[in-house]
Amino acid sequence: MTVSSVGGPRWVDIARGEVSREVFVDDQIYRSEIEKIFNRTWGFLAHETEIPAPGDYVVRKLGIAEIVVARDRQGNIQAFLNSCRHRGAQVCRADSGNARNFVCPYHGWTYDQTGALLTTTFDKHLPKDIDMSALGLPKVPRLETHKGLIFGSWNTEVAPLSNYIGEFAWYLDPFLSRTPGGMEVLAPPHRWRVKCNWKVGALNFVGDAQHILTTHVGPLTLDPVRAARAGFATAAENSFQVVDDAGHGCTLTYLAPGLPENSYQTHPKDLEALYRDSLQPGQLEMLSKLRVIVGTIFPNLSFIETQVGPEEKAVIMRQWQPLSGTDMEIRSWILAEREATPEYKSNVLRKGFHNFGAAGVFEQDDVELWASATLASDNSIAKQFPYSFHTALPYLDKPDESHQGPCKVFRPADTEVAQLEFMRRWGQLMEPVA
Amino acid sequence: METVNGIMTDEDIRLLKTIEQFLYREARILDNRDYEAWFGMLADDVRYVVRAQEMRDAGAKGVSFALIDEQRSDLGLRIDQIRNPRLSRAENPPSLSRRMISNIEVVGKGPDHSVNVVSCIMAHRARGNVPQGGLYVGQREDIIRMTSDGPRLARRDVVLDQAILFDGALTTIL
Ligand code: FES
Ligand SMILES: [Fe+2]
Repeated sequence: MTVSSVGGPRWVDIARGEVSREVFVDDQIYRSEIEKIFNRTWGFLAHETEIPAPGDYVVRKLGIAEIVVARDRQGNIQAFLNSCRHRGAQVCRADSGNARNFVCPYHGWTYDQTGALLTTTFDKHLPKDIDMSALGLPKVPRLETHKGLIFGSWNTEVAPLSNYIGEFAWYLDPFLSRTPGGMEVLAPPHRWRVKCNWKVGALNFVGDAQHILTTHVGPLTLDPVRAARAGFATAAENSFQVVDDAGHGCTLTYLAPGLPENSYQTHPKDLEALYRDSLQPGQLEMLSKLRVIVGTIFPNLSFIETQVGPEEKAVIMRQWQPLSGTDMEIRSWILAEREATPEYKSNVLRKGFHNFGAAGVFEQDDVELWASATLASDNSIAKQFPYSFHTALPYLDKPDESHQGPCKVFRPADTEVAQLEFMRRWGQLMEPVA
Repeated sequence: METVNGIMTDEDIRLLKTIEQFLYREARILDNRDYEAWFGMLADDVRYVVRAQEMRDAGAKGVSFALIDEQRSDLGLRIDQIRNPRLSRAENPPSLSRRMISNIEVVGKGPDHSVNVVSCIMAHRARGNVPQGGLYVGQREDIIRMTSDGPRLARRDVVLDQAILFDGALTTIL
C-alpha cells in the first residue's frame, strides 16, 4: 500500500477493527502526516511558564520545522521559524535562553523578539526600495493559548483553538488550570528518543488500559505506596473512556468500589480548597473520584495525572515528536499548581520523574516494548498482518449515558474504543474518502 | 587534593588508591549486575542524582536538570525492578553494560570522614540484538564516607554531557 492508494485497501479499517502496520513504520506515510496533519492542525509549542520574562525563549518544533517561541518586550508570546532568511542558519542554537535580539551567527542578520529584521549589517548594499519588513523570520501565522498551553498552526485557515479543543476542555482543564494561579512547569522537559512511531505513544496514552498490568507489573508490584493497587484490575468496570470527534481522548480510572476513598484523594487539602473557585461542580466531582487520568490531545500532546507518592499527585505532559516512520523524540514536563509550596513542588517533580521521566520506572518498560513492536513490524511479511483493535468493536456504537461529562463516553475503560477512534480521525485526515 | 608544592604525601596516595579501588570495584559490580553487593557499598542516607544539561549560549548560566534524584527507598524500588526478570521488560533479557571510570581526583574532605571525589564515567549499554547501544558520558561528583566497614557512597551526582537520551529510557546505573 502507498500514499496514493485511495480507493484501495484502507490503512484504517474501522469495520474490521484493524489498522495496517504500514501506518506505524512507513517513512512515506510519516512525510505525508507532516503535510496533512501536523502542518494543518494545531500543535503544542510550550507552556507559558517556560518563558516567564521578556526575552525568554525556547526552541521547539511545529510539525518538523524548528521554531523559536519567545516572549517579547511587551510580554506577548511570539513564535517564528528558527532559520535565517539569508542562508538559513539557525538563529538560536541553544535549547533555551534569554535574548534581547536574535543575531544570526553566519553573517549577522539581526532580528528582534518578534522575528522582525532590524539589520542585515550590509543594509548599505541593499537595493533602495527593498522591503525589510518582508524579510523577517517567518511567523507562525496562528498562535493561541489554552490555560497556559501555547499552540501554533502553520495553517492560516485553521479553526480557532477553542473550537479545536472544544468540549474536551471539560476533561482537560482540571489538570491545566484548577487554581487562580494555574499550573506551572517545574523544570526543563526530559527528552529521550525511542525507535518507534509517534502514534504508538499517542495511542498508549489515549486509552490503553490493557497494557497497565502486564507492561507495568514491576512498579505495580513493588511500590508500597500503591496500597490499593489490587483494585486496579477491577477498576475498569467503573471507569470510562472519553472520545472527541477531533481525535482527542482520555481514560478516566475511577475508584473501584469498596476501596478506601482517601487512598486516592491525594491532592493537598489546602490546594483542593482553591479548586472550588476554578472548577465546575461536575469537574470537582470527577477529580475527587479519580485515580488516574491519561489522555491525548490530537495529534501528539498527551497528559497524565496520577498518584506518585502518599501526598502527591503529579501532572505530566508529553509530546511525541515525529522524527521518521520509526523514530520519535519524547519531551516530558511535570507541572504543579503555582500556589503549591516549594516543598510540594519539589516532591512532585522528583517522584513524578521517578515514575514517568526519562528514567521512569513506568516509562522504561513502555518504550522498550514500543521499540520492540516496531523492530518486529517493519518488514513485508509482518506488514501483511494488521494490528488488532478488535476489543473496540462490541462497544463502538454504544456510548454510555451514565457519565456526566461531555463528548462521547464509553464504559468499561479496558477496551480499545479510544484508540480506534483516534485512528479513525487520523484516517479521515490522511485518506479522505473521494 | 591539597598538596604542598603539588607533591602528594603517603597518606594522600593511600587515600586516593583506596578511593580508586572502591570506584573500580563498584563499576565491576554494576557491570556484573550484582545489585546486592552494590547496595552494600552505599551509605544508608545515600542520594543518587543523574542530570542532563540543556544547551545554552556561551556566557549564559548553564542549566542542568535532574533525570533521577533518589534516596535509598526509591532507588531500592528502581533496582528491585530491573534486577527481577519477572518485573522488568526493559532489563529482561538484561542489557550488557560496561563502565569506564577515569580522571579520579580527591578534591576535598568533609565532615564525618567524608571525601569529595570527582571522576569521569563512560558507560555503554548494549541490547544484544540491537546494533547501536546507548553511550552515557559524564562527570561524577561523589561524596564517599570512610567508615570502619570501609568506604561507603553517600552521594552521587552524575552530570551527563547531553540534553537528550538517544537510546530510549535510562535503565543503566551510572
Ligand atoms: S545565514 Fe543568517 S546572516 Fe547569513
Ligand atoms: Fe505505560
